[in-house]
Amino acid sequence: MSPGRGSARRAAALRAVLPTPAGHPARALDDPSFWASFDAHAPAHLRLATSLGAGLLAGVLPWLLRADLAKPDGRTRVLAATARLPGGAALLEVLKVVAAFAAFDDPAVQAHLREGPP
Amino acid sequence: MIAPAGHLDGGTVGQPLRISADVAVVGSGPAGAVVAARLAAAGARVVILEAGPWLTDPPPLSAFGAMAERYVGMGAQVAWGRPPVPVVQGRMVGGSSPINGAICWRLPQDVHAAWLARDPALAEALPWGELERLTDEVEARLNVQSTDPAVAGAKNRLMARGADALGLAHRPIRRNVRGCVGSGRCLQGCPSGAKQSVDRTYVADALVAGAQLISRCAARRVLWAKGRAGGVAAQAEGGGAVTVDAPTVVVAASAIHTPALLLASGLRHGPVGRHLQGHPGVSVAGRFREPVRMWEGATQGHEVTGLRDQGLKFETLGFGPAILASRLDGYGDALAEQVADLDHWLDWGVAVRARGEGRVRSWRGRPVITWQAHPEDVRRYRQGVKVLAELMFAAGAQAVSPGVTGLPSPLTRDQVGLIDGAPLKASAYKAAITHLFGTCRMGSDPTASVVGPDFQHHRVAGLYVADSSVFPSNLGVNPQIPIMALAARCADRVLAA
Repeated sequence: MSPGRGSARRAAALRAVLPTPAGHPARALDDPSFWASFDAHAPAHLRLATSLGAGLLAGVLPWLLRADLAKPDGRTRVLAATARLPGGAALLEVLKVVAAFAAFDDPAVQAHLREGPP
Repeated sequence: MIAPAGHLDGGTVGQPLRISADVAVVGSGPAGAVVAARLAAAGARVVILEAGPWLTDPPPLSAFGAMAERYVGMGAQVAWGRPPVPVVQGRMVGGSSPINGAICWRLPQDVHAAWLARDPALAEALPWGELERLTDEVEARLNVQSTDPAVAGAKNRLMARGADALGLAHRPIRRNVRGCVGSGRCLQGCPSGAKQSVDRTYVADALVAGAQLISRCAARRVLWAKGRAGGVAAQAEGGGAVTVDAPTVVVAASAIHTPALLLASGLRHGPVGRHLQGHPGVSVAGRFREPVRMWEGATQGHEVTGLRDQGLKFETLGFGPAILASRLDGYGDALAEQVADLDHWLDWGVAVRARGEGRVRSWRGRPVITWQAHPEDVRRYRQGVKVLAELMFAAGAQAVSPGVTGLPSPLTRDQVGLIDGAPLKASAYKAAITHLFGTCRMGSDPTASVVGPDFQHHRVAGLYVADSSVFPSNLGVNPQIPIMALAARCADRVLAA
């Protein structure tokens, strides 16, 4: 898998775990600089868990369940199915942490929290 | 802050480098910094080796950037067990002190008494009066003082209100700051330079007194032969091998990296790496009607001490939005709904004086950590979560996110009793371990300890351990000041030798 496709899949999984909250600016979760820094600094077990979780959430399960991650109903079904898998809840927790870091690393989101909506 | 003369960035060392010194100090955290400053002030030629960088720029605004730059393994270092638990450590000049919550506690006398009861030989090595005197000295240098109410912020004031309502003893946290403006970013690194971390105090003192510091230079082996220390072999990030020839070596690389270094050096005597203890913490998030903006105000400015005798100490926490968001329960649209009004949420934690123990091994020179919670620790997690929920509601929270698998979330006030039925298995709780102890225990019995009461290795003369590895047990309170007081005592023993 090319790095670009890997980042896109990871971004799709993070967006499913933490969709853009109402009133927050949209975030670019496939920002190459974020993923370059993540891959450079995160320990191997965290990179592995993130890739595994992304593969499940944004690859295998949507295909098996015929679910669309871009829609709330599809997200809910995929997340529930992931949580039921052995170790699935732990993978979701890992993705949630990475999603939160990616989301709040965005300068627009930081400005929104500091100053409120424009 | 400009790094003073005496500092060499190991990233620029591309060729072999050999240095001669009286004392090689491994690690520049609270223990190593105190030892180096004290020995340099006494006239010794001291070289400090630090694996992390000397960071002089203001910390990044982004939590991700700060953790990538300043934490071991981006904050995701893990102790393997059921379940794996994050072990949080800093990696820079100053060790964890630039990114800790600046919380200062003196060594509790009941803990000291328990150490002496276990090994009476420690009475002469660690006399209470002398430790108190050294603690006074350290607290004066770090300007330890109670949190100024003017910078406390909502999160700290609300904990005081909750504790008052429950009748639990509480107080503003004593912190090592000078001119704190309540940026709420202690855990990323103080943006205003107010925190009196050891890079700004004791490391600076050591350099002024003539010590040399090589940052980004990781110790690989303690050099020893015929029962006598001879120096340290290290690797600079620039690629050069660094050798410090010194008849005295003081290892102060943390309760994780100190035993790993000894093991990598072939020093397997005694329980080195065993008896790893810590303070696992769990937290509860609460939603308030009014905005509380957890990321503003003194990072950790208030604590509830009333249940310390039960191994529980409650603290306000000061995360940025990223960590707070990841702490809320749920996923997907339910999580996004909570994150939408993140400024209404607070997170408070409980640090548990755990009975669980672990071990540090060395694999290709790197530490591998295992740790398992004791069943009693899990009972304390559950008790702590319930008290935190009660504190939150007493402070005015509308709902809490307990962070426990098997409990509904969020919980309302009339559902707090459900916490009594929360699972008693460690994997149900989102714990993280800070404050690490015991992996090179001090003691008079060479079969049950790694260093003697003089901090010196039982088998290698001239090799000392100065950090919390030597503590016979965990403390139940934040260890920064006790680590520094014992390190000062270690330095005095080195000078006396």
